[in-house]
Amino acid sequence: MGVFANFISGAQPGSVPAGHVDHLLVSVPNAGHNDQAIRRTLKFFKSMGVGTVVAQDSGGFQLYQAEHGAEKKIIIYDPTKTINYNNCLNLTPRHIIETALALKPDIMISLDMPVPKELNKGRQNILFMKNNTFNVRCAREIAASRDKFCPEIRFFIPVQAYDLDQFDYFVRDIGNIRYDGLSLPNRLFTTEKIAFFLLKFYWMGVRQAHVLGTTRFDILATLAYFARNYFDFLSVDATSWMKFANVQVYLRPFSLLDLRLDDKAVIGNSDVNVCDCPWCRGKSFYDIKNMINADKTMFLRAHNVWVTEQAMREFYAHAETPASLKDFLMSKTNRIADINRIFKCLSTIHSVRNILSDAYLKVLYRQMCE
Amino acid sequence: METTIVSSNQDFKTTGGFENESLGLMACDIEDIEIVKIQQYQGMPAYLDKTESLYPVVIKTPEGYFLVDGQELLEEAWDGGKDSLKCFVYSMDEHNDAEIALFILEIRTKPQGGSARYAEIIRNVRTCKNKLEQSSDNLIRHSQGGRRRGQAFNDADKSGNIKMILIASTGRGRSSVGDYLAYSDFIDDKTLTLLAEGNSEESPKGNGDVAVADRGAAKSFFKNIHTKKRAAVMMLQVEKVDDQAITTTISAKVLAAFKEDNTGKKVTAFDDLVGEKVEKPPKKVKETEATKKEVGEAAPAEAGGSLQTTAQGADGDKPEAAAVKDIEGSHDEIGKSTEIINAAPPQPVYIKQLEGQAYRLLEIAKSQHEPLQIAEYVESVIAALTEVLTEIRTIAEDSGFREAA
Repeated sequence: MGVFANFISGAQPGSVPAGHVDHLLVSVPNAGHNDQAIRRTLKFFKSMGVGTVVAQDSGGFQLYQAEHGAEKKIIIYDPTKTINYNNCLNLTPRHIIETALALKPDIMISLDMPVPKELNKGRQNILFMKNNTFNVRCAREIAASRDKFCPEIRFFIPVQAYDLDQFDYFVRDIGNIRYDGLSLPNRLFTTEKIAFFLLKFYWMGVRQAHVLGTTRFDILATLAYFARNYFDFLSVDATSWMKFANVQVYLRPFSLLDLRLDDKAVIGNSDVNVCDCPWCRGKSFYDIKNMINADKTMFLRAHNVWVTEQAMREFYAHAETPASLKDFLMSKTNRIADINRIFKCLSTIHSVRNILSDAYLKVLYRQMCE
Repeated sequence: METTIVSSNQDFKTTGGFENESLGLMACDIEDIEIVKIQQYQGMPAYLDKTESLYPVVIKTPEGYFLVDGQELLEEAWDGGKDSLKCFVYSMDEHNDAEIALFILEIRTKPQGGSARYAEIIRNVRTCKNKLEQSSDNLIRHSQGGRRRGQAFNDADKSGNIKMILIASTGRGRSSVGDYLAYSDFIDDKTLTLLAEGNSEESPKGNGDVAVADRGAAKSFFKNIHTKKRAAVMMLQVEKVDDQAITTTISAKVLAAFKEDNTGKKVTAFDDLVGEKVEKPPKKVKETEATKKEVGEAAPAEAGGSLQTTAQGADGDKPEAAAVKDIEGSHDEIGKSTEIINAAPPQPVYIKQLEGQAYRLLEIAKSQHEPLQIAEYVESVIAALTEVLTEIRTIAEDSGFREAA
């Protein structure tokens, strides 16, 4: 039975739900791009108080945005220059390590160049090969520096591969470097693929993992099963708590389905707010809808984080087996299609967990995911 | 008896075409009323500033006459030896507490008696809201505002209906009324009255003769403190503090904030609730002497170390020592902050590791539903650490380090 944690990402001083979070994720381009940012971030950590676990993301997302996003930016690689050098994005292992030395996070994620979403297998192969060189080099360099300068910081390596075969290449390429966990981008994968990658990690002996950028219902339920049965530490992160709140969306307890509560919201008469969070106490959906916008945003941020973490806690508590998880989810939500899909995948995994081999895992992966 | 003034409610009737199903508060008469018959309405304090109305304004209900505005006119007449006084009299077919409160609110927000102070307005809006919430009336009887704005009442949306009534009564927009309610939330009446008087102490000075520039806490004050106030409320709610206790705490904080604001200081009254209350353990801010040493010593020895490799890769002739220096503090951006961090007092690495393990226990306790067992482990560890602490103190005392520390 391991830890199942939700890292709050995208938080700024003043936007933190209810002033404190247990797990906080900051990225190097935002939190460590110059000494002023570092000072601000350290002050932010201090304001969080005791007990917040901090993860430092490398900025792979920003690299991806710079290359594929709407506002493109030139990417350079020069460890002697600053991160935002001449309006270019310049991220290197040295920047990651030096920021980590300054911020002293609990977890540091390696620098990676994310692969874009692509369905064509041939394109996937070439995109993987292009990015793999960068990702392997960064992982090796950061791992070596971590060993020397900050061995107490846990080190996670992001996996930028489209399938398990590519992942094997990546693992071979990084060699015998020391790392504590692996992280997976949700962006590329279905829930089933995430499950099989996690099973592969487990088979390799990796006991810590992070899934980047999601707090979706089906993924949380799946991860709860893995956190409960396979891993020592499994975490997720997302900015959805904030993005949903900014557009006045309320997440429903357990199902995490969204309910828009802006001024034009139409609320059914039978739709009752059953949330147990400290802020929903005694509030109807109309009460929330009628709050002034600033208060509503603040309220929804806190509420959305709370229900997400409640879901994680409860899913985890009931995830001893796929069947117990299914029973719980069925009793709390009406997401029947999602629950059946999760159950099918997890029950397959559960049934083979004692007779697992790499070859068998790949066969199952192809059956379930390709 | 003269009948001269038409109430604002009737005004709605004529301009909006709405058949007022409210309480028959239709017309205003001017009557000579015996002063002893006029009762103070207990649901709201009298306005601090003098009325601009020619006569006191009262509401006549089956339960008697209730003063709406013009307390000082009444007192002047009484002090001058008069037994009766001309008053504007509004009639109400049946006694309704919420409607009287709304009318008192209205008399100063849609001025007949002059404008109220901001803190008074938000206090009174909140009072009306509470009365409407507690009222068993069908809210539609107060509903002219909603109809006037072309919005039908929704039976399920009590808070929205109340807001519409308040919009109509105050003549202010939806966002203003939202602000009134939000700003007055979790501040008690007494505090709002003190803020209206411009007092941050509990010794009311209000006599109604205050200059316009000194009309108590302004809107800007409430606006400026609102985010911190809301955050403080949410923090207290997390700690499961009941609403009454939250109101007491927040009211005290608001008064303290007003005092700071008045003296031109930065408002810090809420900081112990939402600001830098809890000292972060040094793990996030201190670069340890040991780590610093490691950085300084390990790098030159590791010729193949990744930082040197990286530096050389980008800048072929950059020597190893220079790369190390970068890490220690000369790098364009990062280096400066490392220097700042290096300036902090030293702390050994094992402390960080110990803390890390301690917080890991907290994580496990939170997620594993066996907190009692973990609490027992922690207790035994604390007992062991206490013993160790005693020993260390003894050693420190023996070697005279304690005084130095």
